[in-house]
Amino acid sequence: MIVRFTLNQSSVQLDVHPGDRLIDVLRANGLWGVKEGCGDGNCGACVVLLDGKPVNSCLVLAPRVDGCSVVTIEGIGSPQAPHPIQSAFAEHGAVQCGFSTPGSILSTYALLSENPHPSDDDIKRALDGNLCRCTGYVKKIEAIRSLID
Amino acid sequence: MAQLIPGLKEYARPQSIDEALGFLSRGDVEMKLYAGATSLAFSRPAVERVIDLTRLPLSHIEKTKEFLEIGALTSIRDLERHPLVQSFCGGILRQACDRLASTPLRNLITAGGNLLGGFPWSDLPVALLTLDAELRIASTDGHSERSMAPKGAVRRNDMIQPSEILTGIRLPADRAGYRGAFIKFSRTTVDFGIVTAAVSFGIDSGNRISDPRIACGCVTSEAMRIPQIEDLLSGQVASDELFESAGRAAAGVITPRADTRAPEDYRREMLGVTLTRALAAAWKGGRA
Repeated sequence: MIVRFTLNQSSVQLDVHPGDRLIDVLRANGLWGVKEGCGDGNCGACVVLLDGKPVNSCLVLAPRVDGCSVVTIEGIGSPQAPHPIQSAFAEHGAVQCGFSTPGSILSTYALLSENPHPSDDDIKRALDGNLCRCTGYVKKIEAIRSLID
Repeated sequence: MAQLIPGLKEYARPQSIDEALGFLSRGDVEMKLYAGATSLAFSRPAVERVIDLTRLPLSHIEKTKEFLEIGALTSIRDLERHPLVQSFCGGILRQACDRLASTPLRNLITAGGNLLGGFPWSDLPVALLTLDAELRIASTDGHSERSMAPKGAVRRNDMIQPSEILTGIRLPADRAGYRGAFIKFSRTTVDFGIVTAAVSFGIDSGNRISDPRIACGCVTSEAMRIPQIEDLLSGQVASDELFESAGRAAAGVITPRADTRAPEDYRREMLGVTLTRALAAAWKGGRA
């Protein structure tokens, strides 16, 4: 079936199986910044922004996003022109193995979009769905704090 | 590419409740309504048709003279942040949403889905049990309302039939000013609970408790009210000693289940502790 949606600010039209997961459709289209960790909604490595809100793309059926906006890590910056959040994560060493980083940055992006001056509690809460098995949580908070000071 | 639902043949996107009911009433193949869909990854339903409800206009929170109305598709995250919810009955629903899974999941999970999911760890139903919640139901026969838990426990078959769609949850406004609290005891903030407890009650001029509702979740296979504790509290003067005796009594009337998170004895002990804390939190934090 055909699904039409906005992917990283561009209109796309994709032919999917109705049971396909959004994560698989995105990765099959070259968006490898969307990672699969647990595959059941616990780890947040697959987080994308669906109509601006972070969601676990491993739990979303692809046809669900018809008519919606989907943003992946590739949609907010590039190696040549990183988003300020990406730069801050790099500068503060908030990247260890890097696997959970795209999801964490997208959760941060959504947080700062609706709350430009979050408290530490707001930050922790916004990242509560992004597990980091390297346990680099403090550096993420420091990176985000550097963007709001 | 691996599919989440391999046998799925049709993905329906109804534009109205009537159209969605039309798909349901066909009865030709196994089907599943799609809202937050966060349980799909472990339930893997063997269905041929999914009926996507997410486009239907059921994501609202409104106050009427008699009720606080919550659309069935309201996300947990929208629910917890709504001003009407923050102030209702000591903020009990906000507290129930606050630690319900993680932020990305709260964006997906809907109020109606969390209620109808029928899992022992669901948080919202426990709070709704103490608010005398009623369900708004749509069927091909029209719209109707019914009590959420006529037998005092949250059972899917009492709430909805396969031919029906839950369109909303409504809370009688007379509890808006009651004291209330929800407490979840869990290993981490985003984990399923080991025990949850919710309480709501009125307070008269002599600090006597009136019309109490006491409920627990995660303890047995279903969220349930504890009528023995409601009787114990009713008409009594609020005090820490009363709340402690209520907690001890609750631990004596419930037979908990055991699972990987906690054995039976630990759950029984923590039910008493959690209920006592919830009563004290409601008493100290709630409005008269």
